[in-house]
Amino acid sequence: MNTNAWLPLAVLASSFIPGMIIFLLPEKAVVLRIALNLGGAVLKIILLVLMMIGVFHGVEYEFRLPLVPGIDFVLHADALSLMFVNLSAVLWLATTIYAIGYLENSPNRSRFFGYFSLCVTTTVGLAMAGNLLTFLVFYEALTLTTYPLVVHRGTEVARKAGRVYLAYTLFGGVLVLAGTIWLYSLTGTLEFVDRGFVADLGLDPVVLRMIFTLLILGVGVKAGLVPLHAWLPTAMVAPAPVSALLHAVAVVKAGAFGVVRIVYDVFGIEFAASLGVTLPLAVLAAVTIIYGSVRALFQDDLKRRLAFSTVSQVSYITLGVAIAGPIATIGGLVHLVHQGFMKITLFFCAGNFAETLGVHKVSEMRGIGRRMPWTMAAFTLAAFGMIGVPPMVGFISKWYLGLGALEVGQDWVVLVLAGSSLLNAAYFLPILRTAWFDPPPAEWPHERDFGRKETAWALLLPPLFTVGAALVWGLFASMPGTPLDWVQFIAARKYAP
Amino acid sequence: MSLLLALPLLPLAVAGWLALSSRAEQLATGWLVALVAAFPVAAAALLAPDRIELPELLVLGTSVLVLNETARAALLLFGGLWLTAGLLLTRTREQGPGVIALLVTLSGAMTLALAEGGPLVYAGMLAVGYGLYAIMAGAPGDEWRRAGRALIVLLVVSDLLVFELLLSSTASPGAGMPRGLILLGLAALVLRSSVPPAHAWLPPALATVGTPTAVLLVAVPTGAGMVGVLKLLPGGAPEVGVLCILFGLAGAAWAAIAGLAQVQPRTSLAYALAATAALLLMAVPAGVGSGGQLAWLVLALLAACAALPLVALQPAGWARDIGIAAALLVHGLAGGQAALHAASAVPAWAGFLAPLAAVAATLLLTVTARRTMPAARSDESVEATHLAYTPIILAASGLVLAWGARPPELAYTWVAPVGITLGLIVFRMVPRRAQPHIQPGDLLGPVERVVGFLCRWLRVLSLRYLPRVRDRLGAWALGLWDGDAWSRRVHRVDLRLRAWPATGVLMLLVALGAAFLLAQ
Repeated sequence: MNTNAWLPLAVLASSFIPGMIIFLLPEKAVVLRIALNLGGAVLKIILLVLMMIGVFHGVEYEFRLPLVPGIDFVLHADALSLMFVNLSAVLWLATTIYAIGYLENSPNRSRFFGYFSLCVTTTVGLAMAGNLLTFLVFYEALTLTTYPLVVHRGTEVARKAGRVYLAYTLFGGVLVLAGTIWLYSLTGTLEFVDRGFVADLGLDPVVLRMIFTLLILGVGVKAGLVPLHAWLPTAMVAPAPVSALLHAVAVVKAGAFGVVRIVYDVFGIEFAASLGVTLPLAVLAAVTIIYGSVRALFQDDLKRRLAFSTVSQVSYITLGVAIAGPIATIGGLVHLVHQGFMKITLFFCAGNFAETLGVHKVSEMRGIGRRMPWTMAAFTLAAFGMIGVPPMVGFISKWYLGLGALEVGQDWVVLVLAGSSLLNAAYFLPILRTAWFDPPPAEWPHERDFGRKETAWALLLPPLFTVGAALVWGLFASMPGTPLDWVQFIAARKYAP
Repeated sequence: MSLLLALPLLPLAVAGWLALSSRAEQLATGWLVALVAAFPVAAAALLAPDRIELPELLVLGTSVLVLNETARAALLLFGGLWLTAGLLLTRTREQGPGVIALLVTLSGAMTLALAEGGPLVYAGMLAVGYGLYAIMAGAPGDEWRRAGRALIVLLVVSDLLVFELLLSSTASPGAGMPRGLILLGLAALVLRSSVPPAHAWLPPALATVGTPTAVLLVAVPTGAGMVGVLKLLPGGAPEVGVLCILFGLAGAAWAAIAGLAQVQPRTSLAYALAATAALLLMAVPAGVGSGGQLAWLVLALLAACAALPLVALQPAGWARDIGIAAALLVHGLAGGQAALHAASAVPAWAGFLAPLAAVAATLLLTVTARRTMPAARSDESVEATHLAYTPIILAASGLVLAWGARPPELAYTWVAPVGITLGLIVFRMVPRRAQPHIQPGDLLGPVERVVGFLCRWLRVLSLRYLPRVRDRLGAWALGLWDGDAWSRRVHRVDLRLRAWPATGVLMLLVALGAAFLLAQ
């Protein structure tokens, strides 16, 4: 086994080993825990940068371990998986710093950070899965490692939310399992291949459509596709770093990434289109986009509004994939990264409002921009990005999705994008108006004193970093090394003649 | 590095510095705004034509900043108005908008003025639109909120139309722009430029804001909309020329009727501006024209309108009278020239209608000037006399440059004397009232009521009916997995099958079939 084989494993280990050690640490070992968390996160990013350079120059990174005859446990780093792994790794670092500030002096931190690390490990494993079985293993592991984070607060509401979360995601896992077994019984292989592995096998199209439906519904649970989305707003009882993790780093993104894998590397986009399954998928995504936005419109709880916004925004990825064209693919895939950075900023900011001032509801945000200008500035930019205002990254995604839809003659998608943008403006702009232009109240619900600062540095720096990235990548979208540049590289491979 | 790049970046840099500075409260921010705004005015006047490419910016690979006639006119308009607003803010009595909002919006205006290529123009339009809302928010009290809400809705819808236009024109770059797309762009212009019926937010807004904000609100929304459309449709759209003439004329008539029914000078000014915007809409199908003709006319017409809020600060006297006369004359002459420009893209009968809108606009502006009372004489009011000349000089420059691009025709210069004379007569004839005959913003009330009803309906749908449907679906789905119920169902089916006489035969057939398959 050469270095190329060990590197994917090392990327997994960089969060798995710190996570296991953190479980064993006493609550008081704050410095060691922080060092392990941050050290693991930084190491992971270094390893990933090495792998990205290698993949760009055509190096193959693959770890293969026989599980049962005919099926291997495969970790494979390709351009698509590295994009998702990088997203997770960078946002994990930001979320870890944020969580350190957020959970300061709260109980059960070792348990929290232990599961936190395991969650990222499973996300990275899922991203680098080289076949459907490995994907399934990590897909289920992700459910199990995030459940303790959802119920971390231990309240009755949290436990109820955890049960809902488990019920939905395990059901999704069962569907993926069923689809995987059925597919294996027909094809004898589960290896992900560029342009799909079922395309040339001459299988019954009806059966393939059913398998596609099973797999998409299975991953659609985590991707929040309507009507399988209900766990997402319910899981908002979790602490802000967990919400950020669920919405931007791990769970929802894992579902969306699953859709991408199934469409591109299991079925192949051209074959999926010929089966006639991409149009219903696009319609389902469009319905989800509009439904999520409408539901977000009247939510007074800020995190709940953001959760419904996620339901809507993540489906842009599915929509981009389902439109089936190189430009739309770029729009969908790049939104995987863009939405992650924008949404995590919003959740960080929501956490800051809650932690610093005890503000949880939109109706309590009057004049909050004057009290917390930097946090609110980050929130404002991220909200503008969600609406699709240039030069934020959200504009780039919508631009490519719209162009891609027009390219393949699906003009109705542009109307969906416009409607969604209108609704996004309708649920974000009132927040910005009340926060910046209304007078602040005489007293905030639960204000904490941070001296001359508006809040703790550990809470303020992560949203500023993530929104800064969302701004710079929007402004200089076409520069080498940006997510758009990397996604163009991926799309060129997926659509190469 | 080209100076062009510094034009949008300088206001942003100053805004960033102010945001970080702990001494921001003590700084004379009015002078700062004026100083920053003087830069584009100087650049427009002194710099040679220039063009720089910004590789890899936004999505298209390359964006371009250009200093041409249209850009110069826009720089003079925006820079001059921000300069005036900044100087007004140095007056102790003026309650002005937030200086950071002013600077960020100025940056957007500079981007819009210089940009070439869709997304950058779009970004500039967005920055100016939302920035104006933030500028309005500096007004005291809550009166501005109603107008602000309406403005935001119009802006968002207009932005989406522009986005669609950009997408479609990028997706099919070679083909000429279809009529549908052109109409989309013009609809966006109507919505963001206060052309009736999208003017309803302006009268209540102007009535509540301070003078610096009023100077900006009078000219910037329409100016930004016009500059944006001239950049998106530089060749114009002669195929929709007649439509624009008819729509613009209807808008000008609407504005004239509602404007004459007003009492306050600010609300009258809003309607005068709406009529001016309708006139400019008529001229859009003819394109920018040689030498940036339409861009100079935009500068002349809007700067003349922007001088009117300053008239209220001046004491009675010859300086004030000359200022008002100059503003009205420039507006009338520029209106006539705009009508001439509009007429060049349409049949003769339609071209005859264009000057009527110009007359309506100048008439309303005259009535506005007559309704504006002079200020009490003081040191500050004398100083304001000088300040009011800034937009008038800009307007006059715009008119001269427009005439330079295309000499005036006598047949269209009658607009100024007729418009002004009619305005003076109408002012004498219209009875003085304490309350306006038509509420400022005429349409705003009914539209608010309809939108309020729709919002309440959507709220009920979102919070009550959609969750109910979801719960019922969930209960139905859970019912499918109810083990006891399924057990009972299967039991019933089993009993029925057993009770059916043919079951035995059927079972026999199944068994034979299975045996046959096994044998095979």
